[in-house]
Amino acid sequence: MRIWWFIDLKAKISDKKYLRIIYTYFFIITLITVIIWPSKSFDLNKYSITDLFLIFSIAHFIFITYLSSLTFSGNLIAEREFKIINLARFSPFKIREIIRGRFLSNLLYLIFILLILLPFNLMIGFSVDFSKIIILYFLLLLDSLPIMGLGILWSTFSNPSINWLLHWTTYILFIIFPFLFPSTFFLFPLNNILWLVKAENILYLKVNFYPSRDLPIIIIFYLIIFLISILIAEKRLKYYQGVDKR
Amino acid sequence: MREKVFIKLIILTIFIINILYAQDIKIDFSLGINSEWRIDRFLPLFVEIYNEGNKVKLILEVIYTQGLRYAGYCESTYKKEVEVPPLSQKRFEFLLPPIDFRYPVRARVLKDNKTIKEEKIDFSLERITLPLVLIIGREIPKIDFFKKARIVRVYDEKLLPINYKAYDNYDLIIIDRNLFNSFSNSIKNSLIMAKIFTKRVLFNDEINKLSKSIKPTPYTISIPHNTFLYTPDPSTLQGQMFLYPDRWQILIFLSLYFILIFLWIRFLFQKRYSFISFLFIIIFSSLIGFGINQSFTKDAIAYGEKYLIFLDKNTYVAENLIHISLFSPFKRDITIEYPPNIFLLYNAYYQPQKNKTTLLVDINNQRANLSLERNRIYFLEGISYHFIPIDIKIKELNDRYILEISNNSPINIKDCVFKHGNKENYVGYIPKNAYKEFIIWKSGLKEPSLLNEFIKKYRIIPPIGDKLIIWGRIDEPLNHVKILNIKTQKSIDGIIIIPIEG
Repeated sequence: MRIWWFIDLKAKISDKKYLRIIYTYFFIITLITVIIWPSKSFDLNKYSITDLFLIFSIAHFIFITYLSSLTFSGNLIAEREFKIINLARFSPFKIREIIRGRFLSNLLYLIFILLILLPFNLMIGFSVDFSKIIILYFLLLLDSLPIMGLGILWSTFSNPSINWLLHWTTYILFIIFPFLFPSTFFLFPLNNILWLVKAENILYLKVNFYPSRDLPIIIIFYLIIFLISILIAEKRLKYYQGVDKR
Repeated sequence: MREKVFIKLIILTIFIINILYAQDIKIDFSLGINSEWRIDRFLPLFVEIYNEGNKVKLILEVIYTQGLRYAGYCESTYKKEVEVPPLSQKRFEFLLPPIDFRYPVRARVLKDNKTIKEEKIDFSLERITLPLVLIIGREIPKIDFFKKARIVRVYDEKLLPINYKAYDNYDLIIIDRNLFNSFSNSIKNSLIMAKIFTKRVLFNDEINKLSKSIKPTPYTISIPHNTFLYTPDPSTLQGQMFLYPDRWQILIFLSLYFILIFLWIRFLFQKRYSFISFLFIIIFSSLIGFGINQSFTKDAIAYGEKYLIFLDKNTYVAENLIHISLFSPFKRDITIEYPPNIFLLYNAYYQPQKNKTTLLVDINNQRANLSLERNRIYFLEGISYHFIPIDIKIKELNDRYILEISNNSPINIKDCVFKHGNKENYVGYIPKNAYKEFIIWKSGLKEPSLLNEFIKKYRIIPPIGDKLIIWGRIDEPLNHVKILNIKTQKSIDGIIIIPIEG
């Protein structure tokens, strides 16, 4: 038997719903790039090169975290994709395997999108070297880690409107809210992206992030959120399994 | 037998002592003749080295600074590698741009990357108030204003600078013709060049011309952190085209790429080798994307050059005051290769609110290094000389001038203008290697003179006066200044001034 989550991943890649979302994003970034690409003629009074890496790092951050929240919480389901509750109810797999597979298929899909974005990121990273792009990718995945865990937890709610509400609440609390007050709390995922793009020098923002001190803390903190929500999700799924067996 | 051993021993001890106690190198820095100098003129710096020991290789560095200490200043470091043979005395000469009196010129000598002598050459302000006269000869001619001037007398060839621009330092130079004839060719040439370009050099039999042409003026102290122009002029950069890909190329690349990914998902994804084809697409496009990035960061540099050429019609030797402006939207280090006819290049303007900018000039290899901050304009200035054979004959009639111009040089001169006093008349285009005849009606001469307006921006002006002049524009690169490893367009705005008489 082939690995079920790999089939899940394939279903995601070729599905129209997913394609529509990522192609909307590609269209938007292409449009922004064409609009703010520096002009070829040098005007002494106006000319400046926008830091495209800064703009698109933040754009990728918003998009990747949104997509991870959306897919992990099961609010975007492809036709041939498996629903996590159905898997728990009807499949012969253990709960832990189901959650692992769920996590892997969605994570690989995110990595697939990041890979597609690689040529674009290489093109717009004028002021940075390749290592910065790698760090950006690492931080994007790290920042979406708590959202992934919480998303898996939300996906165990069979009521779609509660699921949808919880997915948006997490996204707004974790990602959109820090945009209003970026320097308030260093555990907010936005801070490390702002640190990476040197927003302190370019946007004159006060960024509350010191990598040597804060990076281990956020890794541990995000992992804890992730693990706790996965454990609760496991409990909830066991309940569904139990209900069915009973 | 014993003698031989003895001699060998002596040679060995001498050799060992020579190595162990390498003898001193005596170094002496001096600024001009008796260190007399004027504040807004070019001047020489001499490094005299007496080597008592073995042959040595030394690196001489002269650091010239100007600008504001707290708002940013700029440095030009001139580096020269020299070799001094054993038991010999050598003198090396550097030419310095007009000194900013707030900073000392620093000079140092390095041996095996260790500084063996460093000196700050300070100036005192007392010396600048009187006109400075150099008399090359034994007798001092009797001239009225000499009572109010500071006079320096030299009759030793060795004390004179070889670089003609260094004579700019003096308000008047009077040369004894007999003594001049006994000088070596290099000194003769430089004195003749100084005579052409400053018009302040006279032989002792020409002193009667003096009252007409030379009136040393007393002058005021100003802050001289600029030389040719009163304010930096980035106008040549305006409207320059960068050579990086434009937004439509980017649009085409991105749309093709995303369509390709779509096609891959649609048609190749379910097939065999889908993973390999995906990797191939990603790697290939990454290479293209990286190439675009590289061509962007590398070629985004703007280079503009403005120059003023003064041609001496008798010798066809032209002096060129160059003003280069550089702009880069990215931080980068550039290496500039300049041709040998540029004999002085320096960092001309300070960068407000920046610490300092350093131009490192390697005189031996004729290369200069400069690190550019992002979004800043840098200004370099330099002097070069050229050989431009243009013959001009003029006939003056009652109501008109007849000009016969034969341009034997490889330079096209555009928009030529005939100037007399403050009046001008348009002449036209003089192509390269061509002969042309023009008639200029005296009634056609109109005020004001554009050249006079143009020259007002210049602090250092070639001796023009109110005489008949032909001037025109050149937009070809006369100085082949090359920025290594970077493709860039150059916009060039040059003006050539050819005095017809006098």
